[in-house]
Amino acid sequence: MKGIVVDSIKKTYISKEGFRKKRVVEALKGVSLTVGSGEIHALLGPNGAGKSTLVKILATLLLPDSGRAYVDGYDVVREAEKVRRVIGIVLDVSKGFYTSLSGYENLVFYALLKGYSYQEARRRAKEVLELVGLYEMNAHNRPYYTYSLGMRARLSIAKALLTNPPVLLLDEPTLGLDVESAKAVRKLITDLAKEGRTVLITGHNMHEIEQIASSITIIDSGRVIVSGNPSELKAKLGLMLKVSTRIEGLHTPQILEKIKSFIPIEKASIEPLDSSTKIVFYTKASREEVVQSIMQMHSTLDLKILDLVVEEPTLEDAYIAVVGEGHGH
Amino acid sequence: MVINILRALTYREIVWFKRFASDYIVSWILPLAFSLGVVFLPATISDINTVVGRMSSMFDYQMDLKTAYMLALSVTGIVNIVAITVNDVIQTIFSEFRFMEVGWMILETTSLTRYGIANAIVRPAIMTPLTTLYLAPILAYLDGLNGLTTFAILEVAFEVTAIALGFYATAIALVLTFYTRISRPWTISNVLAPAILAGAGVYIPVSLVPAVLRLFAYTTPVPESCEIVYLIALRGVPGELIWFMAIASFAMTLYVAVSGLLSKSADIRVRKG
Ligand SMILES: Nc1ncnc2c1ncn2[C@@H]1O[C@H](COP(=O)(O)OP(=O)(O)OP(=O)(O)O)[C@@H](O)[C@H]1O
Ligand SMILES: [Mg+2]
Repeated sequence: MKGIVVDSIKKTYISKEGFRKKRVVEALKGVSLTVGSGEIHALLGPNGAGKSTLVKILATLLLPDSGRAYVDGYDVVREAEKVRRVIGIVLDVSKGFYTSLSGYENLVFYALLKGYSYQEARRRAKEVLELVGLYEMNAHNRPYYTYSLGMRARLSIAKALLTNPPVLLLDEPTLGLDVESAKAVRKLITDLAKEGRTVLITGHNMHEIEQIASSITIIDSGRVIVSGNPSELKAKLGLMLKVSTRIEGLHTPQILEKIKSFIPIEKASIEPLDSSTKIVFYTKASREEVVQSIMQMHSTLDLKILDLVVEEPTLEDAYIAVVGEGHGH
Repeated sequence: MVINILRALTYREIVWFKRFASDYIVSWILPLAFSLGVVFLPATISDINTVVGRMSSMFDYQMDLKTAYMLALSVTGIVNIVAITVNDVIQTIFSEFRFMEVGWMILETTSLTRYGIANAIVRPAIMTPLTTLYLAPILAYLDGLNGLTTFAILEVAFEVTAIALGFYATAIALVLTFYTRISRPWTISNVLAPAILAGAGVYIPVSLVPAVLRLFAYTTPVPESCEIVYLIALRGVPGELIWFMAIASFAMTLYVAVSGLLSKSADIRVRKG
């Protein structure tokens, strides 16, 4: 089948620390997901979740310990050569090129490696450099080490597109891009998907992803937390309302305890302000239940409520609710 | 496909040459000064005839000043290719995988084995004529058409030596990059080249070199290369060239096998993370 299928992929890194000591990191603990052909699938998760590891496995750069993965129907382990012919990849956008060669020369080198004739290599390199705007910036002939992070990201994207691949694996492709450029790249990605290309894109910025992804998988600590299209995801997690309230006086643990005795609470955060306390929590309870419980808490604890907002969740909130406040942007 | 890699590497090498042309010019000028020094510096202590006489007895060949200089000059070619091949091959592979992470681009298109083999051939093959080019006009000036013929024959010996060293250095580079945790490979490659050269009998016949250094140098074909270069400089086309080729090919086969095996296991090792 076309697209991408990941089935119970596990990957453990064992790195040596010192002479005897070993550090074992279970980067992927059995990840499964499916990306339909022509779909843009976003892989989201906090730092260290295992996103890059999965991208590298799909790109045949890393061998999984167990499980299977297919790209456009080819097994990433047994048919690695075939997989390589159908993918374009962006890895760490800050490196991956010869520092002393220019962007153009790096791309010609890559195209030659991929089997293009010299003529074709030069033509394609120029085309993709124009596409990502490096030509316009007059950066194509400068050595790579003089590139800004944004220019490097553009070059990475140009490399991924060079062979016109039907499947794109993009690990944080918009890292370091300014707002306008990131927008242009998102537009480019949607256009590519419209042409029928399959895209797997990673990131942590839900807001950015929400605009282009047709399906989303959130992973954390090597496990899939939730997966689905944006509306499914909202439905799955959307039962959670975001409740923000401000209460006079300083916080007492009792407040949350009290609310908890009425409704289930998830991921609560408490922020002491000057003369009041701000409380934010997520709950699967209905709006009415939320309001009722706040009223109850109000009457039993005799507090003054200064502010109360009950919000329908956005995808971003859903992400934060799932992954934890500390990780979000 | 190996041919794709060969083409890509040739392209990269030419671009690098254009960009680093000034480095090459330095690599032409330094050995010139060096070889002049070998002949003429001792002459400032004794006189030039004594120096030439001593070189004659050392090499067991009655030579004049011109031949003595051609000899010293030809040896600088060996100095250049050993230093540049060993250093460049080791440091480039190391930084490709450990610093620049160009390694992913290589692993994305081919295997480490194919890349390693192509790289071991292309880099030395292209760098050798470039780093020894300065010999051509000087040998021509010293000995006319004969000088140019000498240059051409020297180039053959240099190329064979350099490609063998390319594989030798690839094997070392693979070990350093994938099987050790060192982060400054130049500390090793900088010591390696002078050690090989010292042990190979550059400037003094190899029979006069201490055994320990010789032992080390004999892991490479460089001692043989030196001998053949002396013979070429003294006698034009020596019959021993055939033997040298045989020895160098044998060494090369060995290095290809070793670096091939190492690169296979290194390829698996990197892809295992
Ligand atoms: N080569 C490696 N050796 C050892 N551990 C590694 C290696 N690469 C990644 N890890 C570990 O594996 C886990 C997953 O890393 P990974 O790079 O896949 O995360 P990520 O989701 O891409 O994070 P980020 O958002 O920061 O890019 C992390 O704990 C990381 O420290
Ligand atoms: Mg990552």
